Amino acid sequence: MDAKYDFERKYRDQILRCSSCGFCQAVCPIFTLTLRPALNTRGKMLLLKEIMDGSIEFSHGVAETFYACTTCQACAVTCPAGVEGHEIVEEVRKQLYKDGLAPESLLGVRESLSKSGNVYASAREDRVDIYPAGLRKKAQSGKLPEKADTLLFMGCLPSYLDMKIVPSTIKALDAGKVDYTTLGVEETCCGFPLYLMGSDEFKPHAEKLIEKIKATGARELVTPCAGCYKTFTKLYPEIGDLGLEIYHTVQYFDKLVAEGKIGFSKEVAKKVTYHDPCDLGRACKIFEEPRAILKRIPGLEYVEMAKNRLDARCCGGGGGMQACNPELAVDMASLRIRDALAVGAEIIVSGCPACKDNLRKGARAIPKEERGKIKIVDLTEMVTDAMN
Amino acid sequence: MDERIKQALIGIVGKENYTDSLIDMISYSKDASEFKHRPDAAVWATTTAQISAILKLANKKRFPVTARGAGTSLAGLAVPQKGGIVLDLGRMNKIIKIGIEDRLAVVQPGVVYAALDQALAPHAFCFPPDPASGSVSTLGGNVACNAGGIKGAKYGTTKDYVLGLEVVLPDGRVLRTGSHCMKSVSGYDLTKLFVGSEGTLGIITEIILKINPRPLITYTTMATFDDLEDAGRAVSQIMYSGILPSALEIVDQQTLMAINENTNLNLPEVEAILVAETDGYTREEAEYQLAKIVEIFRKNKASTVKQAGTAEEAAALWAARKSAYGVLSRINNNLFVEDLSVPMSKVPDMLKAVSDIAKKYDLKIPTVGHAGDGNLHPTISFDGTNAEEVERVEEAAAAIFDKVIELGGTLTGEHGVGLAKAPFMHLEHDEVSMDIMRSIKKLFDPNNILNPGKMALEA
Repeated sequence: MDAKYDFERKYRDQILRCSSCGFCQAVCPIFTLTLRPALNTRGKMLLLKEIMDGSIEFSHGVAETFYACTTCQACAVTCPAGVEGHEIVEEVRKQLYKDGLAPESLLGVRESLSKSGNVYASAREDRVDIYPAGLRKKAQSGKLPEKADTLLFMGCLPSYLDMKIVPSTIKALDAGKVDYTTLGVEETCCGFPLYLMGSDEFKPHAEKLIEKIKATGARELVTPCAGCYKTFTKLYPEIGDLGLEIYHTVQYFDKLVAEGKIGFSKEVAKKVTYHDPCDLGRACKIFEEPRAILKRIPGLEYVEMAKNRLDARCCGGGGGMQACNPELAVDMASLRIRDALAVGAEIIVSGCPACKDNLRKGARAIPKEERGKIKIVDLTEMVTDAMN
Repeated sequence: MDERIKQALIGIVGKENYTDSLIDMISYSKDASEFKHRPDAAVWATTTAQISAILKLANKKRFPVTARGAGTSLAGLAVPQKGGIVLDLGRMNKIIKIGIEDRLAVVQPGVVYAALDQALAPHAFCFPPDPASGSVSTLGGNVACNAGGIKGAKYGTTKDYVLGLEVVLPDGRVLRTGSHCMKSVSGYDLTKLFVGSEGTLGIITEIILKINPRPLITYTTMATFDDLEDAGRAVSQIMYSGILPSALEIVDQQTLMAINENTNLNLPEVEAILVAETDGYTREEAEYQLAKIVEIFRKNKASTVKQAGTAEEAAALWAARKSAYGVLSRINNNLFVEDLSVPMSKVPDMLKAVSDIAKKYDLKIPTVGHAGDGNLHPTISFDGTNAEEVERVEEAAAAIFDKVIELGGTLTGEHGVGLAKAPFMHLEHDEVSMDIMRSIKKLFDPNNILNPGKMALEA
């Protein structure tokens, strides 16, 4: 039989292998909150089976369920038949996008990106406002080193929305005497949002950024953004070779600590838990480095949430959910905050700016008497707070 | 869906709890079986009063109502075979009461098995049946299908734990059965009539469940047998040795070969593996039972016997049994999981027969099962797009059913009749038995609105 669609050519066997056992319902964050089977992975696979046998066509209804997915990969971990739900969702979104069925809210993100190079439609030159004064002046006057061993890639959210991740990352790199540069005002979005919405503009966007990165001659890239990290390590290889080692800050800081380049002397006498971002955890299997760092901080009492590592609960911050369905995204985050409260955590640490942002929203949605003083911070902040 | 019925349903449950959108209809067209049929609409009901109003309407307008929990049935119990509406009870998911002093829990039907287990854990209590789908399946579904699990030999199945029910009847009346008591012989046992009735007699809206103290100690042992008959004899001897294992599972050679072909577990391709678990409230209790089992394994020429003290070691011994379903689901695009049960002493005969039938129809039929209660799951992975292969699979399944009945067994130990076993009901139940079942159905549901097309109740 001739396959009509790309998703069918790539994933037909997997889709047919879904035995509809429904075990994905146990872990799907969308199903957990909506209790609507059509939005669960099994529901999605049933739709694709009917599309493949010609019983139904792509429609806004089909689009509704395929954009209701955080691509958290929890279903793939639990699936007895080995169906990679997130990969299939991402491939189907390409078709929906092509057919003009992508949600308006995501198309707005695309507009911003193509105008300004970032998802917030903020000015390019504002990207460096968050840099510490010295580095900012260099960036603004075009005096950043053109070449360096290490390229620090900040990501859009840390650059424009978050107040602390960029300064903390730079502080730690300075302390570790790392020879680094940044792309400054020339840094753009990695393109992950384009990929998640299914846009064919992802490839040309990525190609441009690959050229910019290569021009620095750096031998390694460090980013505090889990989405950028996943994009560089899992998606870019299909498009072009970045030709350098890629580190997320949770890995890089672990390395700096292990090499004795940064150390901890200040006590953080708090109960702290780590939230595994889906893009670092299930996607890239980075689980232990952030925990190892936290456990080295003096005075810190590490507590583990019941759902952790491969089984971690998605906070709802990814996959385009914040744009498509912001209320649901916040409700998911509130569930994750309650996981942390249940083990008595006072601070939730993550390695993903989108998780941090969404978890903070999720915390605010919980009544104050229940959430208490729980704080959500990035690992880079914990590290600099405890540094010598 | 007829516009007037649609508006009436919306009037009962509210606009946000009614759907006839295509994506919902497709998701409600299937459960975990191979059957498929779209409903005309679906509703998410959350109160007994709503369900009563829905059934009254359905009874008056004569449209089918198929109740659904998590839709994990392997026999088509949740497929709306005659259209009508799906009554999704997943949002009726409150644990109403945990009464430790009375050793019971009162729940709504949409509570997930695992959610109750989690809620009982801090009290050191549990709800023992432990179905394999327990992470998603709902207690309403467990009761309506009388779900079993690997602990059947020692702890029985769902039916052994249901003390009472609230049920909405097709005419809209609300029936309360049973009591909050451990013992009750007051009148006919209407509770048991609904347990395993597959949604054909009424809609369960509240369940009173007996709960057990959680055993504190668990030990696991695994043995390999070069000869299937030795394994069978070991099972029999364990069962009359005076102890009761909490699980006693068998994995056959075809399964081991399939696992080895698809994983790097490197299991010994012997004729059978037995995995046994013992539990108790003291170490001595669990150890004593384990020692007996190990002794019986050795006496019956087990080629290797391993024991586990820690959870990690136990997980390794369970690997063959627990990976079976995953491996078999990956081999091909279609899967028949059979569910026969035979008297425990007949387990080796049945396994031998399955192996002969597989050869005869040129199929691979790996079998795993609950040797401790005689419930076996021959599993056929096949290419559903190949008509000739499908025909051989169907013939082999029919041959297996004939053998089951010949050995004094039953077509289904824990999955239910639904659509899958309906055509074979006459093999197991004679005219008298079928006549009584059909009369009961007519008494409760004279207009056949509840889950029509199932259990051969209409023939």
